[in-house]
Amino acid sequence: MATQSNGTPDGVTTANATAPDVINTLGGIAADSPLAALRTQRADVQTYTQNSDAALLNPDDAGGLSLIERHLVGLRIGTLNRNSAIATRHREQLHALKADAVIVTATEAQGTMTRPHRLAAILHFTDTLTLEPRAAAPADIEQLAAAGLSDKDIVTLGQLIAYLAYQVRLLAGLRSLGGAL
Amino acid sequence: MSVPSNVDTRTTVKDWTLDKLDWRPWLQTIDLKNLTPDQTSVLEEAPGGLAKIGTYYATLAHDPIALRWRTRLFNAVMYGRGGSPRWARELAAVAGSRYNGCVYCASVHARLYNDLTKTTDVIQRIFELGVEAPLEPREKAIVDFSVKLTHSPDAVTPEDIASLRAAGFGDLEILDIIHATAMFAWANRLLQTLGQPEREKAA
Repeated sequence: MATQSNGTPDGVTTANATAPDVINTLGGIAADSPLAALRTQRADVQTYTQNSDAALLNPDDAGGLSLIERHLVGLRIGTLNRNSAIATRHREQLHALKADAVIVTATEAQGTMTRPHRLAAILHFTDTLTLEPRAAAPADIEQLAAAGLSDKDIVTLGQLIAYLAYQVRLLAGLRSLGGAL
Repeated sequence: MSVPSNVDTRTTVKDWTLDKLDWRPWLQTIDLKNLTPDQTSVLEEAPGGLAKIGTYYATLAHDPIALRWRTRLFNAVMYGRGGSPRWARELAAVAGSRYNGCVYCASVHARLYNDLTKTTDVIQRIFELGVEAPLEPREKAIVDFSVKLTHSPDAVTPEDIASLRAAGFGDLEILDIIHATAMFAWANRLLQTLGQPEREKAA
């Protein structure tokens, strides 16, 4: 694969082009800290992380995977990883979206959910990808399809869960590096 | 004698290998003859361009906006200039993939590591013995860090950073190793959960 130059992002618009940096916010990284300065040496990584976050959690068009479903997945992953900043972010978004409080609590409580059927399938897939990705099987995809998710929705869900696995590890690595600078 | 077309000549790959593998998605790929403008533009950025779209991109292109930013992020993380040498990023990728069980990712990035370093023994040990394999201190430091960040992110501490420093890596290099490890937490999950690695059955 050819090396690609990634100096500045192009003119493609995203919903959050001027929003605060999501990783600095979640990681409690102060703008004037040595870690924030180090991150700017990889400004393209910072930008594309931010744009990935916006594409998956604040898309212009949520399509078949609703914003509430996306944030329930985020809440679940924050909880599974014991990352309170991530969990809090999604809990607050769910509150702002007026999500059913019973569903939010059940999502956060972990354990197996049996209904509603569609959300149960989504959270089962979330748990598998988050905790044991090698255990995934074609039956998991069939279960999502049977619960009404299109191929596009399934790809978006997979990208969201996988992005959040990246985010959890990026934040953990940065926390440790920041403590050693 | 020709093989009847209804016989599946493909087999799932579960062994650790340097072979070039195929990847079979568990869901329908997009229709390459009916691309949306967003799909066209993101697939033009794929390795090989529109003319050589593999099954992986043809699956992920169901959500072209997410794929666009993921592709650019991946390239920035793995190929960005300066900082950590590329072999160190590839080794972090292989270690995380070996731990997670992603045979496909490991095969691709093990080949890249071997090409960059002109070696085969590091990968051979990791493939045969796993992520606990004995290695030279510089390689061991990367593998240990990547594996810990992969399996227990909340247990990583500044002492783990100190181990990388002791092996000779500076701040930007360590940032690059963190980025590469995190990127493969993402990549492994896509390759492992939306499809499977395959090769032709042995004759």
